Amino acid sequence: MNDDPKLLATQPPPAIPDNSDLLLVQRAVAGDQGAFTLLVIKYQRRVQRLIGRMVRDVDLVEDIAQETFIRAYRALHQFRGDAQFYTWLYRIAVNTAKKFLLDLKRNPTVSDHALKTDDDGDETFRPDSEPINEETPESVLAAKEVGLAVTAALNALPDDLRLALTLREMDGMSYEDIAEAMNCPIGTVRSRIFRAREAISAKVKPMLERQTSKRW
Amino acid sequence: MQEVLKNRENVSALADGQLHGEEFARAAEWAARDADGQMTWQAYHGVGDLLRTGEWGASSRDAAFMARFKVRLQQEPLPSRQFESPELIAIQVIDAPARAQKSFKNEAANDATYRWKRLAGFASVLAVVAVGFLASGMWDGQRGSPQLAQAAEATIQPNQAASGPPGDGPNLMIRNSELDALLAAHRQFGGTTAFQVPTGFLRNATFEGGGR
Amino acid sequence: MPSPFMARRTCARVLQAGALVFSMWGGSVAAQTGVEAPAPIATNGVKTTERSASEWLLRMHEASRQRNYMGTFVVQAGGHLSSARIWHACDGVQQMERVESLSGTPRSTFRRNDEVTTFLPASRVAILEKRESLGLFPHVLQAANSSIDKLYRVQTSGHERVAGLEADVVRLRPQDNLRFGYRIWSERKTGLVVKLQTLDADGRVLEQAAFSELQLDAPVSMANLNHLMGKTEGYRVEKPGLVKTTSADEGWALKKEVPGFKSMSCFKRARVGTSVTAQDATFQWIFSDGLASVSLFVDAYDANRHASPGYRVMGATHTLTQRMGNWWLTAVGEVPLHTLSAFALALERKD
Repeated sequence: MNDDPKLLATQPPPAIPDNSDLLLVQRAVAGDQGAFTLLVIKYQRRVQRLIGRMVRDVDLVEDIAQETFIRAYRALHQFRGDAQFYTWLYRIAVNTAKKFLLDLKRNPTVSDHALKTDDDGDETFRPDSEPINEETPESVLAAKEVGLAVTAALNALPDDLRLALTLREMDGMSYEDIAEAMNCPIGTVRSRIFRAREAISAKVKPMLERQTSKRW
Repeated sequence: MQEVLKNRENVSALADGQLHGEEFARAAEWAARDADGQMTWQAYHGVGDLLRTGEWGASSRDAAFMARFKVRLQQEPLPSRQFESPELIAIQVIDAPARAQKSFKNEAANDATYRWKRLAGFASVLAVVAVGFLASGMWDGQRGSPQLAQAAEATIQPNQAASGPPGDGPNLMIRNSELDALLAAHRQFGGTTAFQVPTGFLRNATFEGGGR
Repeated sequence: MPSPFMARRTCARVLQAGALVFSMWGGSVAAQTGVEAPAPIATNGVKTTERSASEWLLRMHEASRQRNYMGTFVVQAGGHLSSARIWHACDGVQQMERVESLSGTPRSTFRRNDEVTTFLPASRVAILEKRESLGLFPHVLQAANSSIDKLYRVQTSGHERVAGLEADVVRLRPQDNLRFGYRIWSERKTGLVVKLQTLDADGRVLEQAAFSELQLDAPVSMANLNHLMGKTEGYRVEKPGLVKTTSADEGWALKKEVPGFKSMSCFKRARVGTSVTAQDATFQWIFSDGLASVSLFVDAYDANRHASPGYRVMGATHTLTQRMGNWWLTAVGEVPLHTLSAFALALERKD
């Protein structure tokens, strides 16, 4: 693991301890690119947020994110599964971003507008700041709208569904631990988490469809 | 509708690492290939992200990002399937015999190979099927199927070392120098193709898979 | 590595507008879904094929016979990446090549027409071989009804730059599931193959071989290559024991042809340290459909040596090993596994 003190301050958030990612990695290594695509969908916003702390221009952030995932794919057979997948991906993202920044600095035709103005080398992370990007006012509003809708839907859930989902997503508890905490069988935990997610996304999907293009 | 809800529930379980074996494979397929599956996978993870960060992360750029990424991914050679690893059965290999039925008329081959799909299972528990059972049935004067069933049970967890005396049931694929020599012989002489000069020759002279 | 991100920005906006993607990372024009479509929904670059598959291949073959070049060649297969420095010279009579490995075991490979010498400096061994298969093409193609045109459908899809040169992108689609497809980048002016991908039934790349640098009409000295090829002093010279034979002589036959694959030749190969007339010589039977080849190796079954049946994959090369009564079969080829199974099932002993 990386002992760089500057980076320690920005360790990825505690990952939910399970092997769901590892199973998908194994499937991807066995030849199913769809499985890798699932991992990309899962982590692409997080990776872009991470890169967005170093780079201002949203197109460049996406370029670096694309490159990060391709590098991860090429190195997939090296992922041993003894660390969390996101930790491994995080390091690839950071290294890829650093390389891009170094290359950009060497290229005199690229404007500094692409980079963070106070970027003094590549180790400056500001974990509390929002990534500045070029989202349009409409899309920012749309994101807020969805955020509000999700929160409202969450609050409208029956207590047992909301609790199960919260324990899973925010506390990172395993199904076994949740079953014990809520004094119910694991099958019930699974059902409650699913129904909570389904109720919320039922509200969200129409908005998603409007926001994004129809096909992936 | 029941079907869709069942699929979505499986995606929810998939996201939490609760599925294994064939269940896992089917859910992963649906989430990756089906439009509703993708939406579901994305939405459920979006909900989790929002709970943790307070932000709804998805945006109109995501679809474009994924479309662009998929094109790039298509161009990438498939990941390593090294001779010494137990991960031998590529999923597309399991699917392929079904498609081969259209063009290849050998009924016995089709029938026998198609059985692999049902018995061999999918990725998370890595199954090693000794193909030798398939044709050896004909050589030993027996029909194939009892041995195929035996082969299907020989599932091997990752990291499990090869076990059993040589010749005893399906073994882990261990690379050996004899096989390397045959591969080299194939490349040296099996080159009666349009690509051989110059590309095939260059490829074989350049490529050294996993070291000699 | 620095991406021309201004161009990327334009590409991304074009994408958002729902138009086609043109990936700049060596990809080809593809539909927006990113999934390999049977017929590309392209506006850019797809034109009706004027040349047949065999015409394209002949042109590609001739390109290398008519000019010198040098460059760096990279092969990606099964997660491994290998590279080598290449020199090629020709004078209308002789074709010569030199391949210096840049990765893996150090080795130098020289070719003069169908003679190949491989130097392994670490072990001071030089392997001398005559590979008659290298001389058979293009007669294979020039035959009146070239079976390649029946087995593979050709489709051009635009052009791209590889190693700084403009290349036509040619797709060869197999017409059945017994073989793989190919995507070939053929340099526009000369036809030289600058990049080659082997694709599975879903259009996924199994293997890729490409020039990362290429200098056409480079000053490569054939005299120098000849000189280097003959420098075997200090090396132990090995000539693998190899004898041409026929399947009938060795007692083997295919009870049913595997569609598209023709028998090319048979050999008996001595195992290391033994003679080719020994009982445990390996029988090799080679088949080809014009683009892909399959070797069937048969040995007398030996429980000590033959312990792991099954199959393996490395890039586009698949291997199937199994016992067949008193025999041990190893089938190898740049073909899907079920094709190897078809061979295995068709092989029969004729004593």
